[in-house]
Amino acid sequence: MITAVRKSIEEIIACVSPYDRILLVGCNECVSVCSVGGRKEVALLSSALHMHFLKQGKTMDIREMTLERQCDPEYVEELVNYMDGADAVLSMACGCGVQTIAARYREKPVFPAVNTTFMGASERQGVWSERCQGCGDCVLGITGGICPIARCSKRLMNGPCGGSTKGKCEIDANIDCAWQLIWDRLKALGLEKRIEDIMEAKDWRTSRDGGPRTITREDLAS
Amino acid sequence: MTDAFEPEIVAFCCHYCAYTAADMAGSKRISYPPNVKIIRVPCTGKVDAIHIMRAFEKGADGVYVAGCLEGDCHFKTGNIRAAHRVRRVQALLEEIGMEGGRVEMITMSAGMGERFAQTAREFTEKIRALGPSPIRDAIRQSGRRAAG
Amino acid sequence: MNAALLLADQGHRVYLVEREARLGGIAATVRTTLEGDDVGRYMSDLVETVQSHQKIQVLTQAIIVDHKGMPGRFTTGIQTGPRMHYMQVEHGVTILATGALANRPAQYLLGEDDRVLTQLDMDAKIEDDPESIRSMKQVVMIQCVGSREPGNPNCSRICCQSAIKNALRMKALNPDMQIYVLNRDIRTYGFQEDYYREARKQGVQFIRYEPDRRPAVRALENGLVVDAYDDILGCRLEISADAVVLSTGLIADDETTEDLSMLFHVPRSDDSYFLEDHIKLRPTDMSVRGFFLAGTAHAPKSIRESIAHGQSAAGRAMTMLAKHWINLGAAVARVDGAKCAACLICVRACPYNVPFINAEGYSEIDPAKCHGCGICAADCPARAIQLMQYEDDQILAKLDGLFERMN
Ligand SMILES: Cc1cc2nc3c(=O)[nH]c(=O)nc-3n(C[C@H](O)[C@H](O)[C@H](O)COP(=O)(O)OP(=O)(O)OC[C@H]3O[C@@H](n4cnc5c(N)ncnc54)[C@H](O)[C@@H]3O)c2cc1C
Ligand code: SF4
Ligand code: SF4
Ligand code: SF4
Ligand code: SF4
Ligand code: SF4
Repeated sequence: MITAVRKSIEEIIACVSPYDRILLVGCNECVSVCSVGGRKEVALLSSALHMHFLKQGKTMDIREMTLERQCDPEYVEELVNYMDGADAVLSMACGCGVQTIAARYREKPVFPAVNTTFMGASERQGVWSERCQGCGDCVLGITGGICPIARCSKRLMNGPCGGSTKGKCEIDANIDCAWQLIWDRLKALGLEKRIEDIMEAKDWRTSRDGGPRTITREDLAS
Repeated sequence: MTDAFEPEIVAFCCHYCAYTAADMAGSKRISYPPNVKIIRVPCTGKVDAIHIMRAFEKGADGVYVAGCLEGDCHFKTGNIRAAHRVRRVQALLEEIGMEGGRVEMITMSAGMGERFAQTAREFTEKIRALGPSPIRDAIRQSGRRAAG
Repeated sequence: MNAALLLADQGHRVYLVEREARLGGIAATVRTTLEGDDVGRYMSDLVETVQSHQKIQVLTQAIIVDHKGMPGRFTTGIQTGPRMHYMQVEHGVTILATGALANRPAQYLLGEDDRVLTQLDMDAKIEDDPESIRSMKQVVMIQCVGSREPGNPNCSRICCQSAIKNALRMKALNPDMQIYVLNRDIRTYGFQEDYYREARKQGVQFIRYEPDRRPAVRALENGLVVDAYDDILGCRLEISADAVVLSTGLIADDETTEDLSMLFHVPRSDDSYFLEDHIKLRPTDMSVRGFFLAGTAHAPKSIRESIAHGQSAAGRAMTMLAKHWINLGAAVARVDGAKCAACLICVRACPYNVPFINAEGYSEIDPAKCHGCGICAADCPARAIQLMQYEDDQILAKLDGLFERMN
């Protein structure tokens, strides 16, 4: 899942204050699940903005909408009838959603209300952690199901580094050392020997280093 | 406007503790300020951050959520959830330049009629000292502009 | 016991959970009432009837250890007997009749000098040792000891009548005895007033004192001396006495009501009694459905009043037990599947683990299991849950109503 955190209200205000009519759009998927951009957060932000502008003597016209998924053009199309009534769009979806709106409604300024943060998993209610960096060539099969790219601070592929202390990472003692986790897990699986296999230099072209990526499924694409 | 400031306060009271305590205050003839307007909820856990925000948007000068003592919630954890939400709204109000203290979480048991009245008085005085909510003034002014 | 008997007589199975090894409570130590009822005989008959009743199971030396369920279907865990055997009982209603404690504050030399007794002690003494009463010349009674003061602000209701009861019985044994009742005011309400008048007629002296000028008791070799200030005459009195009888009342059983209120999630009053749902409209029901109150667990009462309260509890309980199904009200949470993002927040937040993600991929709440707290509704990030009867629209409409006049 994609996780995000809300931008400061101050930053959001700075973006939208030149306008009088705002279309505030949430997304009912990832950002709802991490409680940052669903219907509830849309209503809260709308209320806060409304009050802020009232204090300035300005009645801001804010329309609240929450789409099933902001990263699909069909859903984004649902906004078409509301665009005329808006001077700008404020999106509470991740960057994918913001860009899908921007691509469809070229004449409207679109602002993000959240900072898209990482691809992660929820550990428990209210806690999410980074788990994957989308490298395009997954190594989890070799590393016992723990990603050294997303979870090792230095992205070491043949770790650990010398700073691994009592299972914690030298960069931040609150973080588990990914290579300690990998070692523990391999041991539990009876695959300790694996740790000695040298992983070859990773071909990062499958990752962002090869430029923006596109997936085209010939069987589906028309 | 020259009339003295009388705060408008909304109290979300849970059925099992705070609302009963308010009843108790009534049957014991303990008076509390008429500024406090009660909205009954089954549990403070039902009080949504949005409800608190909307109360301010409509012109409340202060809002408090009154529930059972910690550990005494009829629904186990409702008051703890409510306390978290109150803290969240406090932060949100501060982000838009309002005093976080305009919203508060208060706990009491059902028998504490005196405490209900006491906290109602204290909260009213606290809000009186903070002065009218800027929103309330703005609503009045925009209303007057629209009318005039 | 009275509530148990009434319900059992109507065919309902009753579990009577008693902490002590025997039934009877405080009333088992009271000998007679003001009206002259033989409490001892009444109690032994009652205990006998209860214990031999087919539909009543008496559990003695029993402690409540856990409790769950909903009105009409509670399950309570009880440890009982000397071996603390654990058992679970299923029941539709719960009646709390755990009583109160006889107050015994260390005032006026109580516990230091054995010529200072409580009305309960005197009650027994009159019956067990009438000779000693016949030999007394002067007796002083002090009212409101440990009641109507900080810490126990209640009037205990029973002490005035106990005093008059004992005064009349002493007079009957020893008509020449002088009895002084130092009081703040005499609260013999209802027909008890007749006994008060009778006591006056027989020469019992009633002297008022103010709480800021309390009497004091001094112990001398050959008797006790009570110093008092007569408010009406405006002078100090010194009364010698063969015995001083303190009208100590009832005090809430703080420990018991605290434990049980935690277990059952029921409210207590400021002074640690169990709290009724409404002082006038629902004096026997508790705010939690399926819970009823009987006797002094609720507030100080006389035996007659406790029995009446027990009968009332049985009556109220019958209104639930007589039905084949109970309408628990519609205050339950409902999910709009079209809005649900299947985020699991409600699943994790519900204190009773009710919501689950169904086969269609959205959250579902079983209305029969939902307790109606609304926690899930307030936490749902998709605003997909509404608590019936407390919907967002209703709350916002209330807010609108409140601020209408201003805006
Ligand atoms: C000093 C004194 C004098 C009195 N004199 C008079 C009088 O003259 N005339 C009169 O009419 N009334 C008198 N009363 C009042 C009378 O005693 C009460 O009204 C009556 O006993 C109340 O009955 P009850 O069943 O409510 O409580 P109780 O008699 O207190 O019985 C409560 C029962 O619950 C049990 N219990 C408590 N906690 C638990 C638990 N957690 N689990 C299981 N069981 C538990 C107790 O062991 C007890 O058996 C007097 C009271 C006092 C204290
Ligand atoms: S727009 Fe972003 S948050 Fe919404 S579904 Fe797509 S990826 Fe998830
Ligand atoms: S190896 Fe690559 S694809 Fe696999 S989890 Fe790590 S970053 Fe994601
Ligand atoms: S301590 Fe572990 S997680 Fe941290 S940089 Fe070194 S190998 Fe990576
Ligand atoms: S909290 Fe709301 S969105 Fe999440 S699973 Fe429950 S009903 Fe669905
Ligand atoms: S209302 Fe309360 S009990 Fe019912 S499902 Fe929601 S959280 Fe659970």
